[in-house]
Amino acid sequence: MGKLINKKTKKQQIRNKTKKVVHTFRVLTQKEINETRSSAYTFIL
Amino acid sequence: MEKKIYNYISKGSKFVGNTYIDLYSFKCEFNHTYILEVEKHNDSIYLFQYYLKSHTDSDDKYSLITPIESKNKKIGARNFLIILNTIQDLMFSYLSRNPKASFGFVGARSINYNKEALKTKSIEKENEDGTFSNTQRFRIYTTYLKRSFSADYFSHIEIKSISSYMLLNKNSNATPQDCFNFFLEYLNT
Repeated sequence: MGKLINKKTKKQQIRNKTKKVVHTFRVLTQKEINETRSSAYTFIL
Repeated sequence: MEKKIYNYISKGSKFVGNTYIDLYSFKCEFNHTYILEVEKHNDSIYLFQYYLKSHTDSDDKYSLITPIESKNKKIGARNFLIILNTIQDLMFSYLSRNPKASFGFVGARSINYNKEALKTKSIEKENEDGTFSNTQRFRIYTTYLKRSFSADYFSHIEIKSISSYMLLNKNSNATPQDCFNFFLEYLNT
C-alpha cells in the first residue's frame, strides 16, 4: 500500500458544524502590543 | 547581536488540494529534522507550520510535543527560540520577494505520545465546534510576534477563540475582516 498523497492534515478544524460558536477577531493597537511585551526587546520591523 | 538561526534548505513545493505549499527542512541542535511548510493563499497570505520529520505520517504531527528524553533531558527553550528565529528569517525572505506578504498561523493544541492533553498553565479549552481556544502554542507564538513586529508595517489580528493570528501587511488590499473570514473558511474546509 502506498502512502496517501494529497491528504490534508489540519492543526484545527471546525468539525461539528451543527454547533454554532461565535468567533470574533481583534485588531491589536500598538499600545496593546507594548503592554504584553518586554521593553527589553526592540522591534525588528 | 545577530540572531542565531538554523540553516534551512528548500525541499521543493507541492499542491495539496488547491493549496500550494513550499517545503523547507532544517536540523536543530538535538539533531532532529524539522519540516517547515509555507502555504500560499489569496491576498498574499502565507501560513507557516512545522513538525518533526519523524512525525510526518501522524495525523497529530502539528500537535505532538517532542519528548524530553530525545532532547538529552533538556527543556529545549533555547532550541525552540532558534526555531522561531529561523521561521522569522524565512518570513523576511518572503517579504523581500513579495512586499504585500501577510503571515499567519494556527496554534495547534498540545498532546503527548499517549494522545493526552498536556497539563499546560492555562487549559486548552475545546470549543463546541471542535476548535481549540487560546492554545499554548498560540500564546507562545503571539508573544514572539509581538516582540518582533510593531504595528507600523503589519496589523496584528488576533482570533483567540480559534488560536489564530495574522500579521496583515499594511500594503495588502485585504482587510482585517477578510483575514477573519479567511481563517473561518480555512478551518471549515
